[in-house]
Amino acid sequence: MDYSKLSSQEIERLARTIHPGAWAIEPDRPLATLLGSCVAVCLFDPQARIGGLNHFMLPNIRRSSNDDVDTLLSGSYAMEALLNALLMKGAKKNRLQAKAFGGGTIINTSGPLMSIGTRNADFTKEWLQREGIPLLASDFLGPWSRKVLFVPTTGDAFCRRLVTNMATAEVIAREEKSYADTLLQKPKTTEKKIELF
Amino acid sequence: MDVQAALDSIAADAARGDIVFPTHTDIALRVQRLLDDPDCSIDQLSKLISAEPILSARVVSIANSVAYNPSGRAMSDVRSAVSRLGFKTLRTLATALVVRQMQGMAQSPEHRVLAGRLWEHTAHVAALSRVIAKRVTKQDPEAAFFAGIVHEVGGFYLISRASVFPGLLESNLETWYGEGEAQVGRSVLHALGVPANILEALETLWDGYLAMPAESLGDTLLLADQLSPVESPLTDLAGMSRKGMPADIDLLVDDEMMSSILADSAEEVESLIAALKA
Repeated sequence: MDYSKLSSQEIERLARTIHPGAWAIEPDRPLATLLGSCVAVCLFDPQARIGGLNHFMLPNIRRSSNDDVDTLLSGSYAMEALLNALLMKGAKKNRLQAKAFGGGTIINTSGPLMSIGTRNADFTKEWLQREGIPLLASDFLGPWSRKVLFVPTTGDAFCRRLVTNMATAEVIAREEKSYADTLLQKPKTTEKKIELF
Repeated sequence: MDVQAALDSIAADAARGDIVFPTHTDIALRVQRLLDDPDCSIDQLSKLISAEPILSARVVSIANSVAYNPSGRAMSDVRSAVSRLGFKTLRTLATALVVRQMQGMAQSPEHRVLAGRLWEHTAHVAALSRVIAKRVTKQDPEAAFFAGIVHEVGGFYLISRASVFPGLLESNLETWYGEGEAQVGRSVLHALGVPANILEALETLWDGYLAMPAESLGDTLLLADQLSPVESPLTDLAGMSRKGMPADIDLLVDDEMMSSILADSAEEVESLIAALKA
């Protein structure tokens, strides 16, 4: 199907939804995700026309003296899982391009919770820079939740800022908290080992 | 108060097409009609514009702004200004006058303050749209400028009718964003005779999905709306304001970041805003 001829509303209707903590590569079907303080990164190889999207956050609660390393490993896991899957499908790392969204503050609060979105956004930018993947477009921070659409065959991405009313904030916060809890229960390891220097 | 019923009623009034613009915008509307005439001459236009002091001042001021006069050669007469600006820009300025005068349709001092803030937001979005079109999305800068000028006409109409529904502008207007604004906006834009490409850009704005990177005229407008340092007062009521938080939106444009392009264009944007607000 030629998704470039469809309106964003039609793309949204046809899209497969990706929930917090998940990632996906689709050969054709668009991907969609709803973000609060989490971040979604779309990676795309324009030559192979292969793309995918993830939806992740860094764990927030300090649990050991190694928490900085754990945090990085957790974020890196989300990025590496998508990256490795794309490479397995034939994408080349030096051709990959990124678009990234999210890191909002959707619950009225102040103090450390305010920085969750910022940490997620900063991690994303740093990880992409470290890996040499250009960030073509981004929309981070602010008080909004966001709906992101991604067409994996073209690399087209669309981002809509949403009114975060009480009901929406609760649904997003519940999903993100449930994902955050899983991050604390079982630290992830990556198939491709990360070397720390 | 039943906000949805009030918004539905306002949308229905607008759809009936009985939108009456302030009488002193008559010359601006006549300028628009004259611009539609293929035989329209610069002399005819200059004469008609000269009959309306606010429009004359705006035309000369914009013609002398950095955006249209990078060499800094000032001019003081309407005819020279008309020649420099061209018909497309004149149409935008005539429409800008009509939109600005819509502030006067607000019935109470509080609502006029809201309308004043809405005009300030409009001026920022129009100026940013023109610069983003020229430097980022490579769209027609004049079309983008025009789209920016008319992008809040639905909001002006809402404010002008708010006195019929006491408490409306103190309520939660979440449902205004999206379908409510689009319904009213379409009707007012139709009454203003806005061209199809501008209507299409407005549909993108109301839909709210920004293509990243931004490409179309609609993306240009939506991006300018999101980047404007002055928010529409209606975003507060709809729960869409920034609430003082930083937002970080950026694009890569030919190996340069949009944020740095816009920083370099700050003087151009400021000159347009100043001319529109004068």
